[in-house]
Amino acid sequence: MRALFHSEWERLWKRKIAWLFLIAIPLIIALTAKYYIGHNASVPLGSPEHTTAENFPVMAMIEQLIVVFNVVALVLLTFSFTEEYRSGQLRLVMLRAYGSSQIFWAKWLAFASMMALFFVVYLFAAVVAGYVFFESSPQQTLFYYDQPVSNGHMIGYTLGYYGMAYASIVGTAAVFIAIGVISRSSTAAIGLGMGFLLCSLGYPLIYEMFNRVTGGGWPAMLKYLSLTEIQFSGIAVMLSGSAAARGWHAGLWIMLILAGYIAVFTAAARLVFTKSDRFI
Amino acid sequence: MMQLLQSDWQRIWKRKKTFVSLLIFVAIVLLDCLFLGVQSFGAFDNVSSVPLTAQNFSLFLLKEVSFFLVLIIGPILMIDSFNGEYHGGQLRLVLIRPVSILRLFAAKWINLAVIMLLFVAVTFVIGEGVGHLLKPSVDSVVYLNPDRAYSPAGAFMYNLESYGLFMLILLAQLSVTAALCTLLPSPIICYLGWIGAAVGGLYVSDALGFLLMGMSTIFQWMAGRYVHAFLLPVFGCIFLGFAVTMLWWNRRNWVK
Repeated sequence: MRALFHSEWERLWKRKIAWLFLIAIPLIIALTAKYYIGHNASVPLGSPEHTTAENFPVMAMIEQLIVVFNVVALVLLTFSFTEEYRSGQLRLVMLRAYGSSQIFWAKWLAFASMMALFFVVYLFAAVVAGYVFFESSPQQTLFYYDQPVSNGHMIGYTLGYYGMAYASIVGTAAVFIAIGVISRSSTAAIGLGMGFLLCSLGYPLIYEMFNRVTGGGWPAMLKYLSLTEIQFSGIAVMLSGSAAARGWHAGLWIMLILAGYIAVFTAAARLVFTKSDRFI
Repeated sequence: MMQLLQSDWQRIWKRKKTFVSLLIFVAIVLLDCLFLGVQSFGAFDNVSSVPLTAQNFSLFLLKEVSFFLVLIIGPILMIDSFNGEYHGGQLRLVLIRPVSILRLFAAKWINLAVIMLLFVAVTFVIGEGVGHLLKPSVDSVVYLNPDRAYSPAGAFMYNLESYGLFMLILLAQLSVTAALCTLLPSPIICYLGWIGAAVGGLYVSDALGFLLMGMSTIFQWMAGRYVHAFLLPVFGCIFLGFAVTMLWWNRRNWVK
């Protein structure tokens, strides 16, 4: 199993796109910093949108999580699950005495480790860029917090935010894997994956309209059935300290939704991956 | 040339994706009709909106579905035709015959343009039809520019012109995607390349923003408020992309 994981890991890094993204991280951070420097001019100091050296890592993650990280996950998974299988490269791995379930988990693990590495590099780059480009502040104002928090608390908050962002990427990845396993060609996999992202982005609008038309009264947490909505505001709600937000039990709900996505789609993908015929 | 067009047309429809995309697209259009049907205002952007009527319904419908065309269905069909067949080695069977590569490229371009026209026309027909079913008809309708009112016939022409401009934007996308598909190796990278080009266009110059924000550009241009050049970059993309890619195909290494 170790050797299999190693081989999957090397095949992911064989792709130029993986290296390209790793190199692009400082560039993305720099562009994000440039955007927030301009944004700071129009936002007062006490607002949670005002970027300081301490909260820049979280702000940079909010800005890039939905588009950049989801699309990179989609591309890597399509290469790993659809392209390798449908083009027949995977036959050389299947020749060896590994079960298809082992191949599936090795692929999953290689992807998860690679994403973890990207998150760690992104965090370090953002911390450095935060102190280079922004002014330090003794207290931080956060979204969904009643009072400003100390810088010590901010470190824990940043780590929690990155952890949850990573969990949400594992959630979208579960859907992308399921799509990648059933798709017959890589363009179909990419298209369906992007379609899933667009529908997830559109779902909160439809939910709000539905709520308005039927006279309201639907639980607010139903909005977070969409993974991109969790990435957009759900993580901040989940980590919030205000009493109003705590009353919703947001953390529990969002955890359950994420766990549901991961369990259902990973199980379905594994089932299809191991049961479909391998004589391609 | 006619035979090349036919052969490529058959290959496009032989891929199940084309037909499935059309079905999914019609389903999305109908769902968006329902979505717009229960709303009373159509929004041009975050600030300006006008009451939804039978006359302007199809324009807002195009705004709702344009992202599916520009970001998903369009790129999939184009990349499959320009890069997928080359990457998979299927074109070898075509190129065994003494056909001109220039004409092969032109045939692909024309066929994809027709397919895109089909998708846009479906949206227009459904939009006009459902608009008159669900929304009240009015005698005078305004768009983004409140000073210009249109009669029902004028509004129909306004919608048609907007759809035509959107079609031009899709043609520009077609030429740009063709160039990207020749430059980049595999379908997945091509897709990423297109997203990068559309988003990157915003950063390079505001005049290239139409690649991603097509409908917002058209709204402003039709209201006479678009401050950048519009037709010049669109036609520039169409013809430059077409010419460069065509010559490139001719000099390309087809041994793969």
